[in-house]
Amino acid sequence: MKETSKISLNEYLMLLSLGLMPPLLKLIPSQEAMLAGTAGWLAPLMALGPVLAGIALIAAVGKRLPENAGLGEAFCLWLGEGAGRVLCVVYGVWLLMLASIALRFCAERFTSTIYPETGMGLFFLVILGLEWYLGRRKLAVTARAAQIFFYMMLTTLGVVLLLGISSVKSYNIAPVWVEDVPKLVQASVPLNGAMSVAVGWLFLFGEVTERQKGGKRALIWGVWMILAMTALGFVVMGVFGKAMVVRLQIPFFSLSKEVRIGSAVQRVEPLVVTMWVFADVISTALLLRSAERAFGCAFGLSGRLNGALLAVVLPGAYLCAGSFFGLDRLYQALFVPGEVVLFLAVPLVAALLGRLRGK
Amino acid sequence: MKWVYVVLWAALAVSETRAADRKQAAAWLIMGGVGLLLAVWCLWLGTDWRLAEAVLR
Repeated sequence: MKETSKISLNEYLMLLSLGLMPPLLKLIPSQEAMLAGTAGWLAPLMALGPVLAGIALIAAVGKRLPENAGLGEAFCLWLGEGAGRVLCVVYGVWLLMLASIALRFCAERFTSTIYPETGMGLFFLVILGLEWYLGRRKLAVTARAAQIFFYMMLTTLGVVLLLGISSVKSYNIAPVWVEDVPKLVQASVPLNGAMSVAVGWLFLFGEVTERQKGGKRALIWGVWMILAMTALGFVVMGVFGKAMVVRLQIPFFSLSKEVRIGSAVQRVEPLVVTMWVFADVISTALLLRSAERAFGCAFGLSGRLNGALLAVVLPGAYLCAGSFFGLDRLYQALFVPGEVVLFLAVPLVAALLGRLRGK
Repeated sequence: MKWVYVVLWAALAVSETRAADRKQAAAWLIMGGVGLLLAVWCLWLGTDWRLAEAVLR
């Protein structure tokens, strides 16, 4: 079968939805509960404005860019060849670091739930084998895989949340007052940071068709993502309450532990965690492919670097932390602020400079 | 794990650089080299060095 290199906007948005699930699931609603207390489940609604503004901005900028241009080409256009290439190297390294930590998070989660006493070596090898295969094929192949995974994940998410609704207790999600708004705004910042990872995947934007007329569809996608996150926060906070949520590693997986349909379906947590590996595979594949594109832009390479990037990511995943808690602290201390700077501030400043230069 | 990594690294290096042009092969070897150095660091010298702790200190 002949592989096409381009993907449609719908496929791209599906890739983004799936790729964003792992980083968002880490934050929702534990981070929100920590920063905004009982009202934390409403924090995604506070992120709606910035997210939609970001999407509108990307759509507007995307229309002005030449065909086949992604973020790397845009940097070179806005800032000049030299500065643009340096920035591409910075992004390439950053995306590789993100891929390493994403892989490690996935491995920690999977092994601690399914095989608590085992090492992560075999898991890494299997996942990297998958990444190598996906990296060798065109982006359309990853998009097609993501399409299948997306519906599986959506069904899982929907079923777990639906079954969880009956256990929601009103005192866990209320009262919410106007005084909570400043804290909610503060709690929405990490959320914006996690969603901004999608900006890093704009290195692949050159492979997307229908870019000129996709703004409205992307905005609708943004609204659905925010609503899904709010629903997730609502059910998880409603079931566990603030005090418990802040102590849980990933509250959604704990919620899936509680899910049962009579005596027929019980203990579905391992199944949910295993299925979440699909989202991690897509998320890491997008990070690796974006890093490959960033290095490609920086050094004028058109071929594959996939294998070399994997050779860096594997030891990177081992080295980044000693335990899950160290990993989580590293993510909060370094990666969340880094995401805000590199995925929000820098592209915005670069686009403004490009505008000033008449590009 | 150590030797699995080395064997995989070598297999990848051969397969990915064989058909590539010189620039591409050089880029592969530089990045792959960084990966190999990191692997030696963590697999042979132990994983006691922790980036997380270094950053958070």
